[in-house]
Order: sequence, then structure tokens, then C-alpha cells
Amino acid sequence: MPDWRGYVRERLPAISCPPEREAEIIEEVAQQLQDVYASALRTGASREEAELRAAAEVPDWRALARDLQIAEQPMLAAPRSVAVHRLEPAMHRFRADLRLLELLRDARLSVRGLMASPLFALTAVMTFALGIGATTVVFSLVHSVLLSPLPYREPDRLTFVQQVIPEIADRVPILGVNPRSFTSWERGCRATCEQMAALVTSRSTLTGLGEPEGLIGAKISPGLFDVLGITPMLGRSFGQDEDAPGRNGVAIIDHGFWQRRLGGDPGVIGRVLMLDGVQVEIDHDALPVDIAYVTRYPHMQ
Amino acid sequence: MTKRQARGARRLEVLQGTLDLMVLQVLDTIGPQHGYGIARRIEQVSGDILKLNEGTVYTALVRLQHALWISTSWGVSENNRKAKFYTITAAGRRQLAREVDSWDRLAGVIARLRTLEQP
Repeated sequence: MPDWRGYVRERLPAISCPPEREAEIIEEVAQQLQDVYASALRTGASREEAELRAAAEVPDWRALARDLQIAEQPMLAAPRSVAVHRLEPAMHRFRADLRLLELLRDARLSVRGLMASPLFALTAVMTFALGIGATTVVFSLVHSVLLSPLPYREPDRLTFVQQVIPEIADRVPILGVNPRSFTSWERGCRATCEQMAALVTSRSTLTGLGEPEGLIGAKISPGLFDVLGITPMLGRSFGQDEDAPGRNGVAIIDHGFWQRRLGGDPGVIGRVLMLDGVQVEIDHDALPVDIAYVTRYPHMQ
Repeated sequence: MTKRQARGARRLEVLQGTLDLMVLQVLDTIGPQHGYGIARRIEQVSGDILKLNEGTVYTALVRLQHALWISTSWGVSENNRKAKFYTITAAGRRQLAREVDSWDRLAGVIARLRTLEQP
């Protein structure tokens, strides 16, 4: 004799109702199929024919589940009878509870639905994962670029100064500040700012220390480290007159370069590097924060 | 089989909403009955014109239970098997009376239309 309960359980799509009620429904449907089967056998049908006849009693399991779902939730359907009208005051009282129950049923139904089609579930999860990932990346960028403060002393008081000449602004919107302007601004800025420093990024080639390497650095005016509030780990910052013409080239290197190319040598102060074929003495060392590698050439005007 | 199919082709689908009425009527006439028995009884009375399947009948039974028009109990069927028996309630009888009344009126309207509006 076929296991009609298993047969129904396998075919009937999930109905959102308490599990014990669902078990009851399965039991009762199985009961009726069983009756059809048994009666077919009594009237002389073969086992196969009896099974076919019982199976034909539910031609569409989805439709059955849908109809049962509606029948199971008379409170959600429009009131159709005196009995339901009588229930209505109680219904209002328990509406909140009902909502919550419905939510739980829906959640359970969704989980079952997802487990029933793992490929779809996987696709959905991947979509979420990608979406969350992309959002995180964008937020991280926006956070570090736009939102988080610069890693310097009193970052809210730092201002980046550029030069705009209205007459040529349509062709060259922003100009770097030329050294002459800078020296005059630096002298005359006391009223508006505490200190001013200049910086020009530069590329140079390091030789004479194993593999040659292209380095990105900057030419700076002596006051930059004061403005940014950075103190070197070793050695000293540039002195006030060290940008005067004719002074020997000195460089400040960052912590990463110190560790990577110089092996973290504690006696690094005074060593000489060849940058673009010019000897530069390491005067100071190891910026505490990992900002760009900084070099200084003697002839900053 | 071919005979069965030929007959099946002429069988009627149950009109939406009339199955509840039929089930109530059967339970009112023959007393407590299980699902299978109800379906066979309706088919038998209809002279096998109606085509019912157990799924449809079961859905109607669930609906009627929730409306409190029938009650259920476990019992033993004629061939000695455990089965769920359905019994019409007092509310179910009142509902049956109302539905029969409106059905009769509707049938009367259709009958009159058929006689008066014939070309």
C-alpha cells in the first residue's frame, strides 16, 4: 500500500499556517486519497490503476495549496457569513497579533521557498553580497577621501592655497603658486594665517643602492613640518634658512622607505643617497605618519 | 477507458461557490460523513454529471470549518479505517437554508429568462 501521507507531503507546496495545522491538512488529504485508492482496489482495479486514479484526484497541487491558503485565512478574506461577522470584534482586538503572526508565517514561507530553489537563493545572496560589497567600497572611499580628517595636527585649520588668474581661468583654471609669490605671501600672511609652507611633488630616480628605483617625493619649504605638526622620529626638521640657494641637498625620508631600502638602519642620519645623479644627504628620518616620501633639493627659490 | 473518457468530456465543472452548498446539503441529508464519502455522494446524486476531485472537496471542507458551518471528529469509516468525519452545525443549517433560498430564486430567474426571452 503506498504511503499517501508521504505522497501528499512531497507534493503539496508549503502553506503558511502553524506546523501542526499543516500536518493535519496533509493527514486529511492523504486520508481522502487513501480512500479513493482503497475503493478503486475494491472495484477490481489493479494497484497501478488505483494509484493513478487517486493521483488524478489532485491534478494541480499548486492550485490546491493556494485555495487551502485562502480557506485557512478566513479573517483575511472578506466577511462572507454571519459567523465571521460575529468574530469581527475579536478580530480587531487581535489584529496586531495577527499581523505579527502573518509576518512570522511569511518569513517561514520565504525561508522554505529559498531552500526549495537553492540556485535562486544563491543568486539572491550573491546579489546582496555584491551590493553590500560595492556600497562598502564606495563608502570607504568617500569616508577616507571626504569625511575623515587629515592625519595632521588641527586639520580643520589647514587650508590648501592655489592660484587662480581670472584672465586665463577659462584655459588654465588653477595654477600652482610660483616660488616668488610664495615667498612674498609667506612674509605677508601673518594677518590671515599662522604659517605657510610650499610643496611641489616630484619624481626622482634613486641609484647606487642596489636596484635603481623611481621615487615619488616632494620639494618642500622648511616650514612644512611645522605647519602639519609632524616631528621626525630621528634627526631634525629643515632649518629656516635651509632653502637658501647653494645649500647642500638634504632629504627627509619616510618610514616605509627607511625600512624597505635602508633596512631600518638606526645610523641612517648622514648617509648619502644618489637622486637623479645628485648626492643628497639624509639629514632626518622617518616621518611618523606614512605620507609620501619627501626629498628636498637645495635650490628652492 | 474510452467510455470513461467520453463520459468525462461531457461532465460539468462545479460552478464556483456552489460546492459549499452541495456539501452542506449532503451533510444535512445523510449525517456525518468523511471527505471521500461526501464527494462520491455528490457525484452519485448528480448522476455522474459533476466531476469532483478530492482536492477541491477538501478545500471546501476547510473553508466550511473555518466558517463554523461544519464540525469535525475522528471516526472509523465503513471499511474499518480511521477517517475524519464532518458534521453540519446549527449555523451550517441556517446558512444552508439561506443559500438554498437564494439558489432557488436565482434558478427561478434563469428559468423565467429562458422561457420569456427565447427567440
